[in-house]
Amino acid sequence: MMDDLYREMILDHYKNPIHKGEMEEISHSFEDDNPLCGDFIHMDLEVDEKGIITNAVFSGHGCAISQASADILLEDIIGKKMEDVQHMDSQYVIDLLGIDLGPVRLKCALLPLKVMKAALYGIEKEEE
Amino acid sequence: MIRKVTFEGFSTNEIPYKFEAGTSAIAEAIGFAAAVEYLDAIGMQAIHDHEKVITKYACEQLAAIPGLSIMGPSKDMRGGVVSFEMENIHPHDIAQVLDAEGIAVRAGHHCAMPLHQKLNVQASTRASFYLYNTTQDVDDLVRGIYQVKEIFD
Repeated sequence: MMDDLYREMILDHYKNPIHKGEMEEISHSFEDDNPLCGDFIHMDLEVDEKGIITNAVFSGHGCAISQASADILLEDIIGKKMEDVQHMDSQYVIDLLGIDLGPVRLKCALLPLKVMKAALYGIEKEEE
Repeated sequence: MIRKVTFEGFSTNEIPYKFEAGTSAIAEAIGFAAAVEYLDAIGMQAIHDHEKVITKYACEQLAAIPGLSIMGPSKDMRGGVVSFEMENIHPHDIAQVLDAEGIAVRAGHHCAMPLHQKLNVQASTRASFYLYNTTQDVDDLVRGIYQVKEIFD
């Protein structure tokens, strides 16, 4: 199970993320954390006038699953239209990661999705 | 719980019966007695001494692992728990790998968020030892941690 969970892909995205960093042109932005464990994701996205996500970056800290999930998610959505991304749900992310997540790690894996949706569609941040 | 109930109101029984409603937790009380007898037979002092030995051994073994730092007081001044951080490796990931090795630790804030804030630490990993643990468990923990390092370092 451990081999499954920390498959090459996850570790690779964790250790060598492609979309981690900063960028200049930002149209949407959000950040959030998992208070129970300290995973934190900040996301900046650029959406053009046609509604296409032309660029996106993330920054943050936390467990391998949360950080890798952010990188993998951004890899997937860049180039897509905002409306295509709107229907993305937990199952989509789980399939994208391709690993058998238990209930504990699910929150880690879904944090980036939560941040992305809040950035693009303005879901209110949870009250402390 | 009650002394008397009428359509107009009620009066309560005397303490402690005032606070005991319904059927008592009879099975639980009997189970509790069995647990007490078990622990009494071993002796609480013996259990405490055992915990100290295992925890001390754990502290020594863990302290020797590069990139691992133990949080809290010295090995002589603690109960049966050892919380630690590993450089650049998140507690969730540590716990996940250890779990695959058959070792259970706690990862996160251990119901002590303000303490973590004061120590300026995101989250930590905690191993705890009790009557049922042996030095072999500590050796397994150490072996598991080297597994973690192999994957994440």
